[in-house]
Amino acid sequence: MVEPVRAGAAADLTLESDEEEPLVLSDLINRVLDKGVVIAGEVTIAVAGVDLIRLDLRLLLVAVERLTRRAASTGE
Amino acid sequence: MPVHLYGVLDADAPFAPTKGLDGRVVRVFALGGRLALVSDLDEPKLAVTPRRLREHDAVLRDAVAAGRSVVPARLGRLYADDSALTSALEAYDSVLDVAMTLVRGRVEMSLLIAGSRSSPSSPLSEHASERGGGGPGREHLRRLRSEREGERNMLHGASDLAQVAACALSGIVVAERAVANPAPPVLVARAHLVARDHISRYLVTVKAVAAASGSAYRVAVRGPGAAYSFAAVQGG
Repeated sequence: MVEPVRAGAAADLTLESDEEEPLVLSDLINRVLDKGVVIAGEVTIAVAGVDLIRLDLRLLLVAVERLTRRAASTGE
Repeated sequence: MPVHLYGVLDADAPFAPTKGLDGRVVRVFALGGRLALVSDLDEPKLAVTPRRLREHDAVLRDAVAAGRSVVPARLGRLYADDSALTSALEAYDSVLDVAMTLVRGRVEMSLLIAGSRSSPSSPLSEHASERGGGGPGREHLRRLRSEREGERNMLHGASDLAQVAACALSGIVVAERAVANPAPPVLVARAHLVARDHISRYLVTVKAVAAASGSAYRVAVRGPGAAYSFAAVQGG
């Protein structure tokens, strides 16, 4: 069973409300997104308050790194 | 038909997930001693959007909330069909065994540190132009330098705060993983693997660290959730 998280002392730390959308989205991108998908250019992240340019560059770097590794492993 | 995998559970009890991506049905199919949670898609590619990130995560958070041990899959890779998915999971059977052992009875908590809404990220002096003279070009460069300095100081402070939290949580977390270059506005992110029995202790401890950190930072926790940072399926 999951231990219930009690309201009160620590409840205001947890992120669930829309007000905290940027932090929630950051967490989802960091953990849930398989960043390899940007190799095919399929990622579109567009939410107000998020630094899109920095985000795109970072994801692009990941994609380039993976492409480089793949090319090296296949001898291309 | 293309298949999206949410994650894999122990098959020790039935599980009936609610809706998945775009409101699609989440199918549960047995695979050896495990259950795979999947949705059928109409197209071979899946555009990743914030909404779909939430929907994918919600399926697994529901499983975690139901007390299930989950090896999550990340969003963004598809399998050609059930047969391709079955082959992929069977090929990694022993790895999944290890992953399942790691997550059994445990959940992932995200510790997120960002600048507070009121904290100045660029402490620019109002009298900067009076200090050294020069034209608007020099003033612009001063402003940029000051902004960079402010950002660096905020980042260093956030890293220090994460270290303090790590020390305070040392008896509570099973494992910690630092998130490299977290997406903004988060400055520093740490993923923590925590036993279910210790979730409340975890929250109380982070609360105490946050209270002692002053007002420059916003410290937040997201979880309990699936352990993407420690045992995710890299499929497709």
